[in-house]
Amino acid sequence: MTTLCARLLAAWLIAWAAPAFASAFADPATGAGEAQVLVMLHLPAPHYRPAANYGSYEDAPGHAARRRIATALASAHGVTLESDWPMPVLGVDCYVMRVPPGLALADVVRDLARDPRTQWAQPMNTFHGLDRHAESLYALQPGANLWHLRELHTLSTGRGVRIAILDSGVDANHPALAGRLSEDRNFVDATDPPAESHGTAVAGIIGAAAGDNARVVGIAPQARLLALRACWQESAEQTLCNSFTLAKAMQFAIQARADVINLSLGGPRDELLARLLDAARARGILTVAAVDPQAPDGGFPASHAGVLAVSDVATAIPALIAPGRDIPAPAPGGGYSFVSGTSFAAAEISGLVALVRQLAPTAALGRTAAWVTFPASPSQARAGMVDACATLRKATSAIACASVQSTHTAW
Amino acid sequence: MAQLAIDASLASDNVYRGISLNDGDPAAALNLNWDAGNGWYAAGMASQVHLYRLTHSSAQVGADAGYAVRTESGLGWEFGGTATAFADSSGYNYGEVYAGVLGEHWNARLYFSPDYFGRSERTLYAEFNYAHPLHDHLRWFAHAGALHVLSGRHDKIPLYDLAIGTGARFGAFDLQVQWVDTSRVDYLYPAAAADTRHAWVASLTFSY
Repeated sequence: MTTLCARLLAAWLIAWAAPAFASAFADPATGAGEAQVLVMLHLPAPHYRPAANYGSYEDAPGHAARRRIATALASAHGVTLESDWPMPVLGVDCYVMRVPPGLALADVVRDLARDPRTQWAQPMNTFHGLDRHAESLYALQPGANLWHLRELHTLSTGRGVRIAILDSGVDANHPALAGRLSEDRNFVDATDPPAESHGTAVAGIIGAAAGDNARVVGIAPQARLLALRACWQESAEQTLCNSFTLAKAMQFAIQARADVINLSLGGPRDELLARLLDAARARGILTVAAVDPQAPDGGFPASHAGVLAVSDVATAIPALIAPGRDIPAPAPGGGYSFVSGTSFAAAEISGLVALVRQLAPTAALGRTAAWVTFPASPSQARAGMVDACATLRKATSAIACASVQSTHTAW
Repeated sequence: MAQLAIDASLASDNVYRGISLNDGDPAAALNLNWDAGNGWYAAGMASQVHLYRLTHSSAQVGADAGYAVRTESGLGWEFGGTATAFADSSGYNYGEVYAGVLGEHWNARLYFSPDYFGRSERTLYAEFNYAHPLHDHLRWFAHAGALHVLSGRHDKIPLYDLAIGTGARFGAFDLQVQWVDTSRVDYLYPAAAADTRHAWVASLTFSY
């Protein structure tokens, strides 16, 4: 080895041992009152590059060029460059810029969008988990009672189906979830994903293990769960997410070839997320989203074309209905709590998709018409709700299960 | 909107397809990369070479242009051409055309030259590259290539080259170390050190 080679090797070893070289980016979960915009630059398709010293297969020169453009854009429009993340699924490089007080957010977004250097620009939007406080206690899992989960699990457990859960942090050490996560990633900040209530409950409802250690049984206890932390627990009662954290997690879920993406959240219509939802749909990924009861059209992403909207009560918009009240679910720290909201109705439907897909991998479940619901009689309580067994039978005629008409029902 | 990037690098050697073109000596290089924004791209490069029978390092310059597209499934494809010229040794100038497919972490290309390194040989070069991101800013990568002479006086046995290495990126700098190996000695390349079969190569690149 030449002396120069040895010196460069020493420098490389220092780089390896010093993660402090990582550039410090601002936490995208900013304080109140600070507005952020997302600016999308064109990300060229990867291609041949000359290198006098071949082996450089990364897009370092391209990234440097875009960083220069983003810095110039920020300077020209009076904003501060904070962070960036490539979205090859959309062919864009996404830059986060902070808007100082004194500048109107709408004007900044409009001017950035008009700049010929950008593909588009949008404000950073905030999304929230759709859970509400339990009003009373129920001792049983409504979904288990309604769908006779144990019998259903003799036919299908969702084995091999990949469900991406974009939510707050999941408690990976909870007895009901230990060993159930194929992925456990944090797209909010650079720490290990923490255990947070909304994400833990959603993941537990979808796929808690069916063993002695778990006091609840997930709808799809053998599905592969991809826990992608794109939201954070702002307070005991509020879970928040934003366009950037959700987009990063969507980008990952798509490239990780998820079969289902669960979005138990709602917020304003978002251009970046809308395009990612379309990209997911183009690749055959089914997105399940909770209906926002406060929004007349069901909110976003539930109202986005191609997304399967789920509510816990009958709605004016086309949506599936699943139990969403007082569902026992894992809570951070190893215990359980009762949760309510369309968030958890959506989680149940994601689990059911996995049960169907294990037996019928190509079943087209993206339309509400593919799902069978309970008739109005004999039980009024379950009328209009999804009938899991009948839906399974519709998707794969080889199924032998019966939608048992029970006279005793918690419903 | 078009994007232009410049990078400058210093390497312990100028290694090309497994062959040292700078007689095992450190080489500086400059690259210009231009992306039109509609799939078309072009680049220019300059580097140092120390060729056979020359007593000093001289310059190698190259240009390439091509078109690359990314499909909805995530796979990409491209085609293009390169031209390489050598100051002081224009007899070695040559051109190539290529086509390739690209995945998220890998790419494969096939190159054809009607007159490889000016040696009156028609050649095909096939390569496969893979880069795997590790924690934070680190990666490892591997490369395999095979050069096949289609016609001409030269040896018809394919010349294989392999490289495996790791790299680290911090800010605008990129540091890379790799082990390069070839299957046999070959005098097709007009390199001063054509009989060197393997080497460590380290490089530091600054991108602007």
